[in-house]
Amino acid sequence: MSDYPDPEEEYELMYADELEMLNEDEEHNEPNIIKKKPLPAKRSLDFSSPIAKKPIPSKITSQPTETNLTPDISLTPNLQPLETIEAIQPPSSKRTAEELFGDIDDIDFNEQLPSKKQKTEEENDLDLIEKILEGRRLKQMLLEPTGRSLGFRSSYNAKENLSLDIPRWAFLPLTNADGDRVYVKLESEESWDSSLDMTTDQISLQSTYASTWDEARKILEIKQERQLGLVDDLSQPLPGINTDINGNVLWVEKYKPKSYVDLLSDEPVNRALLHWLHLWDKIVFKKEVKTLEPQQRTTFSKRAGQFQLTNKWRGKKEAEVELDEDGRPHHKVALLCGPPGVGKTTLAHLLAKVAGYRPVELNASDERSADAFRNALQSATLMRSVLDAEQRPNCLILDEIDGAPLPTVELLVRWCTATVPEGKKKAKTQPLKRPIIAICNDLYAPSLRPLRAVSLTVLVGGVSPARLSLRLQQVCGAERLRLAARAAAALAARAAGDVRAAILLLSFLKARDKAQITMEDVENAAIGTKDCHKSLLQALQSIFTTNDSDPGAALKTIQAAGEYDRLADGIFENYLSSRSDGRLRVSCEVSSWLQLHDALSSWVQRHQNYSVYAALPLVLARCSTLLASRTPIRVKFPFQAQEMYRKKLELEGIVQSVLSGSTPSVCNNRNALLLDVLPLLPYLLAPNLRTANVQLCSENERKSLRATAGAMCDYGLQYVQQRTPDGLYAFVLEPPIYKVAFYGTEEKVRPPPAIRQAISREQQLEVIRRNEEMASRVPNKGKASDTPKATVDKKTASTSKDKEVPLPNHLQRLQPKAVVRSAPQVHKDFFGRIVPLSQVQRNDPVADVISSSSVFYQYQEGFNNAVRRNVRVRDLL
Amino acid sequence: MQIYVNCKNESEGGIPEWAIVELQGLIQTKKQENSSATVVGDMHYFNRNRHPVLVLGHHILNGKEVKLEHPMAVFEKIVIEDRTSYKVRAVVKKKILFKSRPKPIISNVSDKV
Repeated sequence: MSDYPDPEEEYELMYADELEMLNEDEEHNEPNIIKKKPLPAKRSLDFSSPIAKKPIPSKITSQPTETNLTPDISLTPNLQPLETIEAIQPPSSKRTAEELFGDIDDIDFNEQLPSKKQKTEEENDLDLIEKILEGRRLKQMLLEPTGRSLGFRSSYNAKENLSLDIPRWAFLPLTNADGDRVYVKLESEESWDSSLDMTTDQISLQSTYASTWDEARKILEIKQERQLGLVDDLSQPLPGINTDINGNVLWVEKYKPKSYVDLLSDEPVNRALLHWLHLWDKIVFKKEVKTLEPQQRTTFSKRAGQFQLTNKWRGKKEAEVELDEDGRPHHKVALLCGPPGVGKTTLAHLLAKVAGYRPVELNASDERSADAFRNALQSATLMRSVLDAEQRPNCLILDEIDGAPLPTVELLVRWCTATVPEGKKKAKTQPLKRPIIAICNDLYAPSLRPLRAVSLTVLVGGVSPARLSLRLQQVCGAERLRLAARAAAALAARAAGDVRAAILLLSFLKARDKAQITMEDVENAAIGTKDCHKSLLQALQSIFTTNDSDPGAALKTIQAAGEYDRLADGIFENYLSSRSDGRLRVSCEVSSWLQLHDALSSWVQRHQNYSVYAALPLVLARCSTLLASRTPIRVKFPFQAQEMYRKKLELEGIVQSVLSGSTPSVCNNRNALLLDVLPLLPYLLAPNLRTANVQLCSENERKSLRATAGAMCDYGLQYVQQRTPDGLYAFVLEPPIYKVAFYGTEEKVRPPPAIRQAISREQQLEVIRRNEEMASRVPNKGKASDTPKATVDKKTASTSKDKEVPLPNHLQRLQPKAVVRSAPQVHKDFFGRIVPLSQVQRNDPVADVISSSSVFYQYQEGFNNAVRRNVRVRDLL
Repeated sequence: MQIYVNCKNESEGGIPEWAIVELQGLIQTKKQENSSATVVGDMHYFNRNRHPVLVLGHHILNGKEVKLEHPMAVFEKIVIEDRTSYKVRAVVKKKILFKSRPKPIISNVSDKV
């Protein structure tokens, strides 16, 4: 416990979090800006920026030409990296936005085309088109990787930036396959940026405040960084940095938390795990587990009003007895679970070290069959390392346990739950005496089900963006890398709690020889985005909530979640409870879309033709746009579809068993049985009896009872005695047709228990009667019976008997076989002569004497106690 | 008080030696009347090891000879004219002990077994 940070420190940490969270709020408003393609955003925002608008109001002249050219503008992003790579030249001429679009003024300014001075606007446009076409040809001509951008540039003013002679401005000579040499003008990055800054006059009504504000901040940041860059340029290239990057140590490893206070995960999480580790102290280190003093506890509770998590932890602490009779914690395994990259493994290792253990890791790359796992368990929990100088006890860390096969997990559970063997016989398994920490991503993986029951589950959430950005800035500081606070925040938000991804992205950016990391770098980086896979429930939740920032988010989520059928189930289950209008138009439309989804998916399933599969997410996304609302709803997990399917199977089974059990004469059509017979059958099976005693019934009642029993026999139904949960026996109809016939309202029709018993008895009698009838039917054919028809039968039968026509097989009955008494055995001698009986019996006269002797011996078991008699001397005299 | 024991024996062969037959069990009879003396069984000695064997009813008993720790004498009380004297009839130095469980003798066995 002494290893915990003291309360004040912890308070600071927690409070800092809260503050950071507050600051975070406005940053959270514009995650879409970060994700957007940089250039379009910049353009539209540049125009609307009020700050940049002021300095150059007069430059923009021709709006229509710009709109004409907008398709080509999308090529411009390629220019940026090119220019940063190229050598920087002093700006020969300021380029403005109108230059990009080949305006008249610009062309006037160009000395190579003096003839274009006086032209009408229409001609200008025609010229422009010509120039664009020419530029495209040039682009084709220059078959180089950079050709595209160069070609494009030539498209707006090729005459200015390209020349066939050696120009006066800075240039880059390019030669094509035909030997034609072209000189391309070089421009500095500053001139480009300034030109971008100039083009800010346009006010767009569509831009939101947030985006404007964001753009303004970005521009401010760029300017600030530029100033900083000028100052720091001399001190920038440090020799030590490059070796670090090329070195083999990943930043993730390098900046791993070294001590408890470095941990980024939530304090209650750390504490819960550390506390659990300390519970092992009694059995591992043979020292008493310390308990918190009450004083300390009150300080905790004082703060608990503010911090729910702290409160939770405290509550757990108060649940006192956490050790079992062996002195081990109740939970033998701690199960850490959380999304990837939040530092679960790091946490486990660090805390194991802090608690004085030697962490032994076993992860997915090790073999995890049951045998290998047993070996590892044995070596880790029963033995102790010899090489380790400090002789620390082991703490087994099972990483990625959710990927382990089920037998392995079961073995682990058995290992953990083994108690101290009783009796003198030495048991094969010894009780676990070392802590085991299991780490998983998916707590609800099916293979973890047995483990979950016996383990202490610690949920490690994602690191809050505030703490993460703080950490990122620390890392940057250590690496002499400039990272603006905004960029750090953006990076943290992008990583969505994944520390590993964020730090890897940072080192990736660093490896590109960047001295400072800007917003653009963060936005443009293709890596470092959190894997957007969400669970089904999360996906459903996002379907039902409006996403203002990114209208396409629902589609993305749906595509990422993948299980369209289950999502459709989820929508179907929740759509009535989410958004609905008075006329149910939304619901109607959603249900029609769902119908379409159903049709499509069943078509796909039936034909195994996945050509329309891509339409499924679109259909679901359409549902999402219809249903999404701002009011939060509790999305229910789609159980009903499965439930209904199960019920359907059950009912079908009942119908099938009735169909197969009933006699063919009463029903042979499944549909008729289902629709006509079964719904009415229960009424038939409820005879109107006043009393359960059949003897007291009237003739009518008895008749109806007979009818009931007959119907039951016909449909193969019978009453079965079943034990109810409360220990009583009840007569239950088997197969339970009530379930098919009614929807839970069968109690009205079901006869009372006593009558059920009477019916059951009558039904059994009816069965016997019918069997008798069946049995007597066959002999009736052959033998005499009372009816005249039978006598006729008899005659024919007798005649047939005379003819000895064999009976058909199904009429034949088995006759008892007469027992043949064997003749007394005759003794024969070797030659086959019959030996007289007396001679045979003469062989054993002795035996007769023995068996006939009247005296016999009765053995007495046990100790033979001789009888003693006292003899007096006077008797002797 | 004196008890006269006549050790002299009329016959010249001296005092005969008898033996006790000790059975762990009861000898019973099916017949009710017990008037006359009946043959209880046959006792033999095996030739090979001189062990006694007793055939009793449908049982056969294997026994052994045991030497008595204290030899005993069998007296006969003779009362002549108010004078009591004893005559030694025999000396007992050993007993024949049948204490093992008897084995049944199976008779009437079918030939076809």
